[in-house]
Amino acid sequence: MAFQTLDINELDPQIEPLYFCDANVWIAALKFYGIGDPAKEEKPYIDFVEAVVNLNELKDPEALKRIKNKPKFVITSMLLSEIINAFMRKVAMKTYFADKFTKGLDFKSAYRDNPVSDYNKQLNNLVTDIIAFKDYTILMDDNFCSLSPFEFIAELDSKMDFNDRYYFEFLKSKNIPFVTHDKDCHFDGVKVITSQVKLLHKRKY
Amino acid sequence: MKEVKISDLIGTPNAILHKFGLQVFETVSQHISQNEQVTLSFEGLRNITSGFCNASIGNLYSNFKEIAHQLKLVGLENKPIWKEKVQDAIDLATNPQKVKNQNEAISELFT
Repeated sequence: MAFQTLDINELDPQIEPLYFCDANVWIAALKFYGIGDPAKEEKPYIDFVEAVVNLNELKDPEALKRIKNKPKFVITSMLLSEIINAFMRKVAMKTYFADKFTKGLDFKSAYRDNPVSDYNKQLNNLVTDIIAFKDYTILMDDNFCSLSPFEFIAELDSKMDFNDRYYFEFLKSKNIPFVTHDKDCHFDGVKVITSQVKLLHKRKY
Repeated sequence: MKEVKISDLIGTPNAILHKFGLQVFETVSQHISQNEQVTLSFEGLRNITSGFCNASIGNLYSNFKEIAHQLKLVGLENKPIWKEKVQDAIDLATNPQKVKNQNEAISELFT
């Protein structure tokens, strides 16, 4: 299978039964403030998540006959871990300390274990937001052993971190498209859905 | 007193999208603009998110100074997590710098 990269702006979400969204896509969709327009990089992903939810909420029998799928979002343990860790470390902590002051601060002592920080409130808010999407998600096992981790970790390099490579192996085995804005996710054998210009540019060559 | 039942308005018991929150905001703000009292009912909902609360309640608090006197929220009894999300939305609405910081931190995830 060759590289298959699809422009998220041109995608009709009903074409696939399952989607796997990268952690930052989830964070943008869950945490977009909701007033005004989202940033232009985030908007296509927020719209995509919204479109999937809307497909699941279709009730008109005629409309239901016309659609191919009511797609669901796939969530694995590693993805869940990445969403929570990325949000708490890169968004919640930065927001609490007003971003510029976070440099040099230790996550655990300055934020997580700080009794006056908003860590617990932010965590509780995030996990309940994730749980609120449960009607539109499918939980899947990572199948760690069957993905031959000792083979692929030997191939890791500066352009592919462990999690991305792990997602690739998992998604390839399940034939599930990857919704991501990560410019390094140029996978042979996994359908990538993105608005990332660098990824879309590569599909032409 | 006008009653707006969120689940009826958005057509789902899952108030999870900011789009749903904007629907609530637009409906309630029409009544508020006409100096009507509004009861906003969370009854019949199964899930709510921060994004929904920000787009609905937060947006109302950002746009109407006297909203607390005109808007009554019902259906939050015995729902401490929902109450906290609503209160967070109100707090954020009065703290635009925090919103800006959060938006910037999320945007950095896309660079």
